[in-house]
Amino acid sequence: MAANAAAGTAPSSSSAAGRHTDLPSDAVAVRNILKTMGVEQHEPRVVNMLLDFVYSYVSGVLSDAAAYAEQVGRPAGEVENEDVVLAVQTRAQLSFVPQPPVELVRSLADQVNNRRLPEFDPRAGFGLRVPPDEHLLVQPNWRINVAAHQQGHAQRGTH
Amino acid sequence: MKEKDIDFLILQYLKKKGYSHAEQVFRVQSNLDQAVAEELTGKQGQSHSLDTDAGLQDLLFCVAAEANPQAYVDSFDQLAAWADSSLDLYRMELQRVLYPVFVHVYLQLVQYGASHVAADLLKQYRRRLVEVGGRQSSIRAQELNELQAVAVAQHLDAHPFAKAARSSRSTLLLSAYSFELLMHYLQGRKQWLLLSILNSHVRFELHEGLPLLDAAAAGDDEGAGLLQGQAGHDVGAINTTPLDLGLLRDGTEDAYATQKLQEEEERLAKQTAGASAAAAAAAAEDGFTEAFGNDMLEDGAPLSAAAQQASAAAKRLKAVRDKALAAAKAKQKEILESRRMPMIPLLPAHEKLKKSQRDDLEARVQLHPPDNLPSAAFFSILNSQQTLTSMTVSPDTKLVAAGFSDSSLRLYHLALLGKQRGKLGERAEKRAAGLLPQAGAKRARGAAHRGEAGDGMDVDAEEEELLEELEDLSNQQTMCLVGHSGTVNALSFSVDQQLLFSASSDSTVRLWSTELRKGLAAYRGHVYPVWDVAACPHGSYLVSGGSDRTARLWSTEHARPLRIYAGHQSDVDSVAWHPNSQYIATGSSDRTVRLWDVGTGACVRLMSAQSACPTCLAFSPDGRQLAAGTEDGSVSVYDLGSARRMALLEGHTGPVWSAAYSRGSGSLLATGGADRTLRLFSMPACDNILDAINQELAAAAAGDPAGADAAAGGGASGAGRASGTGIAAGAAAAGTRGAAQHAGAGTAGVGAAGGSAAAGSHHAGGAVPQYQPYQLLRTFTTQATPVIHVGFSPRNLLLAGGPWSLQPPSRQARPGGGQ
Repeated sequence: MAANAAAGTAPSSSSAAGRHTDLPSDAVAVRNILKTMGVEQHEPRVVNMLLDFVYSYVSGVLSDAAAYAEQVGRPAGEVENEDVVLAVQTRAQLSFVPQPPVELVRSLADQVNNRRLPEFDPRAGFGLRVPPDEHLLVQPNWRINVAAHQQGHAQRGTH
Repeated sequence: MKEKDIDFLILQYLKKKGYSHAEQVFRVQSNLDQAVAEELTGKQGQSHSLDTDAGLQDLLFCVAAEANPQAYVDSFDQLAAWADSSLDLYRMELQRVLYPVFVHVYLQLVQYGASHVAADLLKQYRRRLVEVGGRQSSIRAQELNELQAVAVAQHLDAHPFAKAARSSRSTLLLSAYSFELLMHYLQGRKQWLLLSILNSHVRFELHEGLPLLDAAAAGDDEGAGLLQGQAGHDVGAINTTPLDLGLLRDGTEDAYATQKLQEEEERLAKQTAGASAAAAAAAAEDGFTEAFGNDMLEDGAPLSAAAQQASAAAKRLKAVRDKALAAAKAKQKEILESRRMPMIPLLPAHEKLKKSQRDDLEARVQLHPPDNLPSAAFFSILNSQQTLTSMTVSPDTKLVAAGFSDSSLRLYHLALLGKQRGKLGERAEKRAAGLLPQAGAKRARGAAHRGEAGDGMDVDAEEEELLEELEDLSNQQTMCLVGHSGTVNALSFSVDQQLLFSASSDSTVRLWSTELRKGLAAYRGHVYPVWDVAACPHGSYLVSGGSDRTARLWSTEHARPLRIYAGHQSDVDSVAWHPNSQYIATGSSDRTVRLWDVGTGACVRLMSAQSACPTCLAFSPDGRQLAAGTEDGSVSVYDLGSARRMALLEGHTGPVWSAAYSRGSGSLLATGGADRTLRLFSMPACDNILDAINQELAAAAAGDPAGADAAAGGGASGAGRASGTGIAAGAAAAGTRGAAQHAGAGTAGVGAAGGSAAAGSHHAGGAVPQYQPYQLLRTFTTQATPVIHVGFSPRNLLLAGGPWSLQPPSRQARPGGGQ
């Protein structure tokens, strides 16, 4: 099945063990990474998905790095280590957002937990208790812009 | 500090930096004897004793070591060899020191760039470190795997495990003498590298007395990993917070029990009145015959004796009944005294809800482990093997809600589903019996009629009508609710089943109305996937737990969270409400279960769930015990008052996805897991007010045949309703395709119906048979369907569900292909 999946790509020239001979070297590398991470069994499509991810991530980082290099003034096509490091860091802040640090969450929690729990509004009786109108999803979230409409009328002239 | 040592270190530094000229000059000027210099250079990396301040020491260590990572490896090898060669008495404790030291040696080596040296070290010691107390420790295996991924110095900041290990102190429990031995060795052999590691990364807890030989007793099971003991010092303080675990006052069950007791009292009073009236009548007759004289004496004597017997019997019965009533009342009072007031604002339940709850209580089956097992219904969802992520059933068992990974929810209306199948089934039967003309023939006739080329697409009028009806109804039988933009991870119905809450990976919790079949609101606050949501048993609150390591309390009326429960070290995977709605339990991937006070937001209990992450939580009906199912298949039962684990239930061979206690006395725990089984465990019975009253009255009625009939009648009426619900459940089960495969559940249904008839006789028997708690009673296997939801309806019907799956590939590979 892995062979069929990789049928479109050129066969690897390196002679790896038995069933790996028809896989491209990148796929072999991904397979080995999975093995070192302790993954004993995996579906063959996993290798393809990881390769897709690697390609998109690396190409994104490199294009960012090229942009930074150009910004600094290097000749086009030259990318230095520092550019790549900067690109990786920027991407990490956007895509792989880490969980908020424990202290921040705790201070937020202390703030929120200090307020008293609100009493229930008796006016609602036994009906559905839902958030106020502005947070309700069933309210229309559009309106006709009356002022512009009237202006349009005035401009065209009413007879 | 010996001058020779300082000189040697400076010499090493100069050599390392490559200042050959300065090195030569220094050598000449410091009068370093050549032989001594060579001898000292032979001892690579071993610094000598230094009495000066620690800063200088550390600097020199670093200099010495950076040149030679082999120093670390050698030190570790020597430590390991020494620990192995120590006396049996101390060996086990000393060997436990090796693991944290190893992890930090590895991380230091990576920091100095010697990653192949580190990798070799790992390979050499891996097998030995993974073994704890004679068996493989999964935490250690996991941690070592993660360590293997740390190969470059940059990883040390990015990799979570490396970061956590370097910034925290792990706790080691040692006996005082083992600690002394260790210190003597390290200082005597001048293992400064290891000493500096122990100083900065390990905290020793000493205990007096003999070294602990039993690995389990030493807490090794729980503390086998590196990062376990982080909250160690305040666990003690947390676990001694006073708790009030009683149920709330003015509950529906209490009111129902009081009413029942009053009715029983009146009934018994009438009976005794009737019996005494009968006795009085007999005595009056007797007096009549006596007055009429001796010729009736032969007949009169047995009458008087009978009258005397009757009155005596009546008196005895009255005494017994009064005693039983008093005992029942005492028990009721005792239980009611344990009730508490709520500390958070709660809405009173409205009359409709109270009424339906009372009906449920009346119809509830009493389940009792060895023979009284529940009827069960299993819902399999087809075509959802890769996509079904969550499921739940409404309290009145009319609706099943299922959440999928394509971000949709479906509501299945069970009654309508069953009915529709019935209609289609009827038509199919009729057609098969030849009562309806064949579909093809009719179409051909229709086509000829209309003079069109019969392309078979015309449907005759009758079938068209039926199809229209079907379309209308299908809009009601199965509703697809769309609104989320990520996998729906958890679902929960509110108590009055008007509202459905769903938690999703798009970081929102949504509110849906079951009657309107519409999404009403989205609660945004977690900025990370939300893994679980639970509705409050008393009202309009919900709790959600997510990937941002917090659980949040929401009121349906407010769009912002009211409370944030922060304290877990990793994602909160499951949340559950305590029956009194004043506490919340959360289970997390940091392998702990915490209990929080809802109103204040403080953590009041912290329990560690052994070596696996808890995946599901269930409270017992009296709120004193908590069952947590874990990823490795074990279920831990904790006593909340003392925060100790009462039992570890083994049985499942895969993660346990769902667990639920039976209603009433909570004497059964049902669990469902990824190993495609549904298991029933026996639990110690809780104090339940209805059961207590029933037992007392039944025990009294044992002595009274009329009373026994009444009690059996009461029990049998419960059984009758139970078998009624059993049949209804069977029909519901038949309505879904999976019923044929779950014959096991069907036979359980039949068995339980018979069992509940026996319940009546049990009550008449009086004594409740004792059973052993924490035993695995039954295992029901499906062919290949993992069980992702398990629950007991308010009437004690066992409900379960899962995505219908084909047989696993290993079995399909058989050449004969037998299925």
